[in-house]
Amino acid sequence: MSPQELQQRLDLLLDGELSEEEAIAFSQTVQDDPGLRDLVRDHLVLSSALESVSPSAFAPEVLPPFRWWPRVAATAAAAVLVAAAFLFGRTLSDAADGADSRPVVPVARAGDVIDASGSLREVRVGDARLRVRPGGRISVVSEVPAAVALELGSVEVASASADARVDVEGFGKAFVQGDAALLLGPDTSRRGGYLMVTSFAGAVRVVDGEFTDGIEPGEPRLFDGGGPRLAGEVLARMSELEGDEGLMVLTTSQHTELMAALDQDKEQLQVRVADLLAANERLALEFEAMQRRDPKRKLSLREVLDSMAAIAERDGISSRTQASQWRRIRAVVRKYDRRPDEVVGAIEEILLAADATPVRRRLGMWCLSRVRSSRAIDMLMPYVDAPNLDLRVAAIEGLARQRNARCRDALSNAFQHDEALLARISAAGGLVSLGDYGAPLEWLLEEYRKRPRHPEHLRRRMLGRVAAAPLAQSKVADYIVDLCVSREAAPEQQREVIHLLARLGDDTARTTLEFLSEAAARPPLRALAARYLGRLDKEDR
Amino acid sequence: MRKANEPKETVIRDRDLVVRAKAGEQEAYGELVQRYQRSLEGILIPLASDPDHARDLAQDTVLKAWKSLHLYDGEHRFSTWFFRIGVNLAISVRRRAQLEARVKESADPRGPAARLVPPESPVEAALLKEDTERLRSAIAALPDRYKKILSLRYVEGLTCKEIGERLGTTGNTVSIVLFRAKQRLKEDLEES
Repeated sequence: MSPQELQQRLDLLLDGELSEEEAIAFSQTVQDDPGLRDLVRDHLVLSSALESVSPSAFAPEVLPPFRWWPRVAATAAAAVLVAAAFLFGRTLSDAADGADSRPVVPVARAGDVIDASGSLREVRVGDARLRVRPGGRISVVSEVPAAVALELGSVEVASASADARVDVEGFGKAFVQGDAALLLGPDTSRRGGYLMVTSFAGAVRVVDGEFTDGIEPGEPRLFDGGGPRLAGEVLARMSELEGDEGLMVLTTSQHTELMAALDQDKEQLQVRVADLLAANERLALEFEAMQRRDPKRKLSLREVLDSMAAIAERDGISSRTQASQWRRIRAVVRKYDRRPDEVVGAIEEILLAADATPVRRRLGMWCLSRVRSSRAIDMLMPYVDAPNLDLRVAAIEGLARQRNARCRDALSNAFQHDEALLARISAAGGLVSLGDYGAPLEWLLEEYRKRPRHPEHLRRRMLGRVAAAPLAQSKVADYIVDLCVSREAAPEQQREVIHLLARLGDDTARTTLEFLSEAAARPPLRALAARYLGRLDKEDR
Repeated sequence: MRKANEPKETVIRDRDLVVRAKAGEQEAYGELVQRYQRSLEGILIPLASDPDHARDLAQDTVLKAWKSLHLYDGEHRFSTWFFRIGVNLAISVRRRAQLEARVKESADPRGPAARLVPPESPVEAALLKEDTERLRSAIAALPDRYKKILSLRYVEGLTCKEIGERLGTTGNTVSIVLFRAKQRLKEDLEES
């Protein structure tokens, strides 16, 4: 009996879940084996001690501003992303625009900062954006590697231990070691180039030169392992493929995945990047990039939607372009998520006008499906019976995503009567997300079981819909666990489930991954679950 | 063979027996004891010096539970409550014996007391020495998901199955995670 099995049996015994016969057999096994007896004794002693600990000891960790320093310092040898500058068309002539045109330097790590006035400031994670006068200086004097995002300008690295030359024409990166100074040079005339500066250790001083005003920052972030380098390469590759993009911030595991995709064709890479970015909730907004090219003019929501529609009409909406479309849609909706009525109004006017093309209408449905509002439901409802399958599925999917009881009847009707598989999947997913774990959930699971019949994207869609309420439902948890511990299930299906859990990434998913890292049927699956779990934990740290 | 877990009527009968026992009906309590005493003895064996000692501890538990029956709120299964009393009693007896043996041993290092000391594991030693403070800091170092499950188990007193239902996973999964969490605590305590 392995220690884990022993623990399981002991838990069952303590919970009164073993029959008397099983309890006696367990006791006999423990009695006969001194090693097991010691294990059980320790677990019982520990359990008893845990019962006497006050509940506050189990409260989730809330980090006060600087408590995490020592922990980060422990990993200081790991690589740190120091700076990512996204240079757009700015010229020195803009520098004369006055005080508001001073650069903004977000300091992404907690620490002490000496700003341009020479005073020491306390900085919390992510909340400090220091405006720097031309010729000013910011010193980050924390003991841990700092992350500073430079939004504009060029950089020279002034450090004996660093490579002093940074080419910011196109994509440039520097590896800085030790106590390096980053000098922001006066040349801001370079256009469209990325600058990536990577520091592996040490404090960083940033000295700014001549600048114009700040641009909305990207989001610098602490990486470890080979993250920054990989990010740089992915960015470079994306830049090469797609031109200017906003700053993209990825986790280390995402970089690793993207690195694996670098040799694939553009379409695959785009799809993967879009997937990852959407999951990561950090998205480079295409229209923001457009804004940046002409910073004096803000694009209105209507212009953004119109631009999106124009791109969709030009390229069409197909599986080949879907990922980038989704990226744009998600970006728009997220940007305006606090003003749903405004978005819905603009969608109605720009994408769902009476004379709108089918492509615009479909795009409109997709946009609406991402906006939770009563008005969006009103607008989606009439399309649930549309003869055009694309429109119908988009409308049903839209209602499904609303998670609103008002949609239940329409979804139920579509689930029972619509013959199109896609429509039924969306409807069933919507019902599951409304808490209907009966027929819709069973149908989804059953359809998923029939996997050879369905193409991969449909299976993923089904699994995704199962996950609409999945792990909160013991039926789904049981299904997932059973699938992965079964030696008869298809390995690719098992892998899909593990990928899904990793994507969900919440506590329950992690707990399930933890279990599967021990108990999955095949060693590669166990390793995969363990790897994902490790990554998720690492990201937390 | 009767299953202690699933049949609903059995659970109901337990509850009925508890109600009757609380009203002073000793036969009802006797029936409850008969159901769970052997399982309790099995649980106590690792904490006892030998099977006879485990039986003695189980007997003491029966008496203690009878005296405390008015405190049983019926929120959890009777067996869980009963076993918990037994385990805590056994640990308390064991700890007292260890302390007494230490005192005797320090008074007469060559005396026979040392041989009578129940074997003390590093975990027990750590808990004995530093009470719960070391344990608290070990808990603090755990990932939040471990803390959550430990809290549900040891603060709220839920069974693995109940925790699984609450978290949307299986009892077995919860058990594995509990095992890991406790292993981590154990390692931490042993290092200390």
